[in-house]
Amino acid sequence: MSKFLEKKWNRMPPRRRLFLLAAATFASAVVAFMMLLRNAGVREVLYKAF
Amino acid sequence: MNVCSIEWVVCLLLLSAVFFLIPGVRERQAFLCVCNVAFVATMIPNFAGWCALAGFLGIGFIAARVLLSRPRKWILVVYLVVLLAAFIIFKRYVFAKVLLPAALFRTIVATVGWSYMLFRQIQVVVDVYQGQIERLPLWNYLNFQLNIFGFVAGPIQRYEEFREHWKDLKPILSDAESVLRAYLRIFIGAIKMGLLGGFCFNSFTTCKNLLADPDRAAQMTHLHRVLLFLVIFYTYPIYIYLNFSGYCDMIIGGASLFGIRMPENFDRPYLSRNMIEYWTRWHRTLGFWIRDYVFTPLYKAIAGHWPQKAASLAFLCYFVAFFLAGVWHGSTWNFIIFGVLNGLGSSATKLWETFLVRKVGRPGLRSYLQNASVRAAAIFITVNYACLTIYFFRPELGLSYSMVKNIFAPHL
Repeated sequence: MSKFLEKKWNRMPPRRRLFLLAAATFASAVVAFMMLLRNAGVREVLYKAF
Repeated sequence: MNVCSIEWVVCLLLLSAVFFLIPGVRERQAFLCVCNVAFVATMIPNFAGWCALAGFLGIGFIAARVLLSRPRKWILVVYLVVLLAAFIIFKRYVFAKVLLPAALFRTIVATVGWSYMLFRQIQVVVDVYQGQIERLPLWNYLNFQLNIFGFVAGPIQRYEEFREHWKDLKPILSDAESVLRAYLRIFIGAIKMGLLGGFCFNSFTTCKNLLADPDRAAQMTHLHRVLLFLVIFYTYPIYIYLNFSGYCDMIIGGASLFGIRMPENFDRPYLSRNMIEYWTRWHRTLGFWIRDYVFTPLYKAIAGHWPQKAASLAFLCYFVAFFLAGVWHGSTWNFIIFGVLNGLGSSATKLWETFLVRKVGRPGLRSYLQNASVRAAAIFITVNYACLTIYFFRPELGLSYSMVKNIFAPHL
């Protein structure tokens, strides 16, 4: 993280920081799981099943 | 088990939740030990593999225990010779096959994780010899060596760091921000490794297949072939970076859920201004290990024998140290070239620095280093040189050669 962003991040109120972190984690989890499921060939199985 | 897989991520999340519920430190250690052994078991196919692993771990433990009571230099030397010989033979290094009888290489055993265990083991034994480690329980040693986080591909953790976390093993799940940071790091690592790295790898493979085939290469224009080569030349280092740094993100994030802090392994390596700095930013734990356990002892030995020549021979120590770092990466001829290029790059950096100090003195060197355009040029040269070294970072030497040949003369 750049110094500018780090400073801004540290000055942020804790609740907002936690909310942003949770949002970023959720978004990255969705992308990561979609990719991992596709790589494992599971997504295609789910598409066919439903 | 592949780290960038749904099995690994789901196991990691479930096991970290179970880990949170375990009450005592001893029980948590036992739980993590079971996880370590189960993970290693997924990669060792037969009894011979387990015997080889036990032997490999045993050599280090016995040597360390002997050195704890009798810190003699000859014991350390014998241990290092036996360990490195076993490592070279079992890893089937191609240069060893040329030099040693073929009968030595008939036995094939699984050596997964040995490369990193070698570093951890030498670090423990050398630190014991130097008196930096005063106690070495078998329980700690085995869990340090077989640590699920870092068993396959690093980062290379030091024993003292591991022991600090191991003796007071506790989950971080009580702090919401730490947990979210750990999860975020795991998912971002997976995206870097699987999605972005996968895209680069696909681009690289497509271009490589086109350029490696002489018939298809002959049908293209020269400009087309050069462009294909440039895509290969730059996408492969990006892929290697995304793959390895993504892997390290997953490992560091995963380990922190279990209360183990793993060392950082990357710090924007493609912004390095020379090859010595590059090795403190790319696979940092390996670079630091090489500095502490190869470069420094070698330099001290030279300084001890030839004190007047030590400063001017430092470049030689850099060459040996980074040549070994390169060769360690793989057992084929390509990795020897990779090692030679890394050795040449780092020793050339040292020679250039010595030249500048002689020419303009220390204050002149400082102003040279602060100059923005010099810095930009240095980064440009270093990143291209690093890409050149990584061009050889794959097992097949023939392929590296045929791609270059097909740019100029595909019909030959």
